[in-house]
Amino acid sequence: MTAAPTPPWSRRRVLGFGAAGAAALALGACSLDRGSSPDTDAEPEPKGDWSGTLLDPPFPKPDFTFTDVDGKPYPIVEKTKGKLTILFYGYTNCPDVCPITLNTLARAKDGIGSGPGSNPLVLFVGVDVDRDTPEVLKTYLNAIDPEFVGLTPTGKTKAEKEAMIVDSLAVIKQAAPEIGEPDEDGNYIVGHPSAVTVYTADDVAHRLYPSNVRQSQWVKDLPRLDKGTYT
Amino acid sequence: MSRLIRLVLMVSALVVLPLAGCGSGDGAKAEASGELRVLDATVEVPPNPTTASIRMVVDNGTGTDDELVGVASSVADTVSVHRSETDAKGLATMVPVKALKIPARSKVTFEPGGLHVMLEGLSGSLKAGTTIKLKLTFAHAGSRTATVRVVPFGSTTSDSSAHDMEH
Repeated sequence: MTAAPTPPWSRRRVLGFGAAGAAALALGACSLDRGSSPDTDAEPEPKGDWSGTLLDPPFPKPDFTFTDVDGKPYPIVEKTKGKLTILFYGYTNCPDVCPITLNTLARAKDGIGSGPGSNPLVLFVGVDVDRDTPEVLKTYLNAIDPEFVGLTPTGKTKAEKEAMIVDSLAVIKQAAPEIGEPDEDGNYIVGHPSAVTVYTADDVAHRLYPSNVRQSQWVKDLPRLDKGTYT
Repeated sequence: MSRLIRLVLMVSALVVLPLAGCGSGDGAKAEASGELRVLDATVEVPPNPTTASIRMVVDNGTGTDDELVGVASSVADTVSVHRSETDAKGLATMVPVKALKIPARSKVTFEPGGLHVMLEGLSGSLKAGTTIKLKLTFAHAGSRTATVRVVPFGSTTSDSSAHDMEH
């Protein structure tokens, strides 16, 4: 093995997050039926068969200018203003969670068909700065849903790009990604936030979803969110 | 319910859910076929042409506990068993599984969001309708070569075939 250290940005920057919040998020990530907040007992939350966790207070949008797959600036707040917007962070060499999550969203759009919730703006941020280039993201998302927006962080250096990812995740209280040690073939595992954040027309997120929500659940939730209801 | 019991249950749920729900290895009792078989092996055409995941069921119909200790295929530079997990910080990540227990008379399912055989450095693009070979090595049963069907993207990981743990 080489002596090259794991990029320190992930560890250094994860320190600002509370353990209770992280535990609550981990719980939400695998268990869809409970909406827990860090300081209270888990109560069966939703009336109305919602998935995800109610955010109170709601999350704002990360006010950062990313770069889209054509190399153009993509100021998130400006581009998504007033739109039902789904924000998910992953990486293109992710063989399991990312493509399944994205495909489920794409199929949910098909399932809703037309009307409210049928045309969410789906933003996929590639956290693996070395491998998730705009070109690779373009190919990747075209295979899933060409309407999905692929974003890479903007910056002159890798450190600047990674900082944009970490800082934007901090806005939605998500841990910094972790880049694993490369194996002898140069492959490495990336830990990325499993949460899916959904913003409504009021430009905040009232619900945070785990990545393993079913298509049928999205088909229920997205139209309601698009109509401004979230409980 | 007393608070203590509730606490214990909550902690148990935290520990168990990610393993039982997000992982796989359902441990369902199989009909005793007397053989160890690899069933329903599929790989979706991946959106990233270099990396793909094989799903399958390993059916240990024998009376002997076994372990999957090796996977190999000529179509990729690196072939490995991984399990997707979500860690305490809410990060989705993958854990390499060097030896996977396949209990006697049980089926272990490699399913979306859980166990998968990861192919990295694919030498050519996978085409739906074709097949690839996967060699599996078991500690007791020896090796098996599975024929893996290449299927369209999303065809085995959509909706009900995938995220079974919602309820």
